[in-house]
Amino acid sequence: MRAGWAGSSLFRAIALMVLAVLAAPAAAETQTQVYGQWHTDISNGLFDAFTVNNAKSRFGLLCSEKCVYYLMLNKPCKEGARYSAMVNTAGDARVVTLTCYRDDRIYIFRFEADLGPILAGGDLGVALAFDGQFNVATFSLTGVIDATRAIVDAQRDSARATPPPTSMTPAPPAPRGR
Amino acid sequence: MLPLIALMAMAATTGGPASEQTQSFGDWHTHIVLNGASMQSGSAYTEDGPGTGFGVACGRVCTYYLVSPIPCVDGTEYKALAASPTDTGEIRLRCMHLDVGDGLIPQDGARIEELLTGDTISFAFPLGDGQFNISSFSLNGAKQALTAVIGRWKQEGGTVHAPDDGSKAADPGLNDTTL
Repeated sequence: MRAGWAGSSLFRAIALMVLAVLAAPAAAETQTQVYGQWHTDISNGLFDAFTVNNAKSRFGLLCSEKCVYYLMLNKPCKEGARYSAMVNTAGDARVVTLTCYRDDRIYIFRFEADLGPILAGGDLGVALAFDGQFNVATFSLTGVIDATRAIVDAQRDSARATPPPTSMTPAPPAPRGR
Repeated sequence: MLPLIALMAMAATTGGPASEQTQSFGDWHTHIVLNGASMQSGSAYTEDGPGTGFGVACGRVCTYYLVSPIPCVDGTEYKALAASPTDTGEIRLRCMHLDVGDGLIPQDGARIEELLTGDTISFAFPLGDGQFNISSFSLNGAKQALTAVIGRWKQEGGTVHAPDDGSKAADPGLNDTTL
């Protein structure tokens, strides 16, 4: 497993991953799974659980040594700038800060908060403030629990010899009616 | 649209025969009710479509307010994200139900004033399950309109910004939109 990803390096990795996905079929070592509206993608020491909405915006949890929630909109942002957003699910609403990372034409917003506790079923809405207006993106959370749990477990399995690296929590376990 | 809080403000005041003054400043309007030469009540406001307004109303006190088409529960506090071109901030607003509709009163009027920079102010209200109500208001003419009402209110010894009474808080195909 590639170690030491943090901060902008992590997001450069996301950008490279996205570019790779756009450019070519998945590499042989890539492991992908689908959980409802969510996907997992494990390759090159990166553990990614994400969903893509109809506008091709992407929301996910990416883990290497640390885990971070991220957002990709089809909208440019200023490298290093911090943005405020209201996030909204069936269970909670809160104001969070996101930091912009740019790699060529890929813009990624890193959430500075742990969204795991508020991610359950239904939808997630993100109203991101841009220059006095709001860009609203909505994502399905169907499958988020299983997808995020899968990558966090895979990351822990991969780094079993090291202390628990995760600073962000995956979505909480769903109530099981079995 | 006559702002509902202005109606409330006027209803809350008493006095003899009143006269009214209305003016427009860009996208903003003022409505001042006079009792003789004194200001009995007043409002400065703008609209973002039918049933949606933002402004300041002066009756017993002078306070900012929002009128939203989304119904709210009287006395309940809501949170929203407010954004100007240069600043953003979480605000809390208390719902006030009147016969003419629902109004939302920001609990920190001074914070609203800080956000009145640039040409717009927008509010994002979470509705639950990923949905939002977004209201955007032009600030073209706001400074003149607010000065006309708040400035006069202060000159006549009025109070600005109702204090927070500390009531309990409550929270209330997938695509992207810019609102």
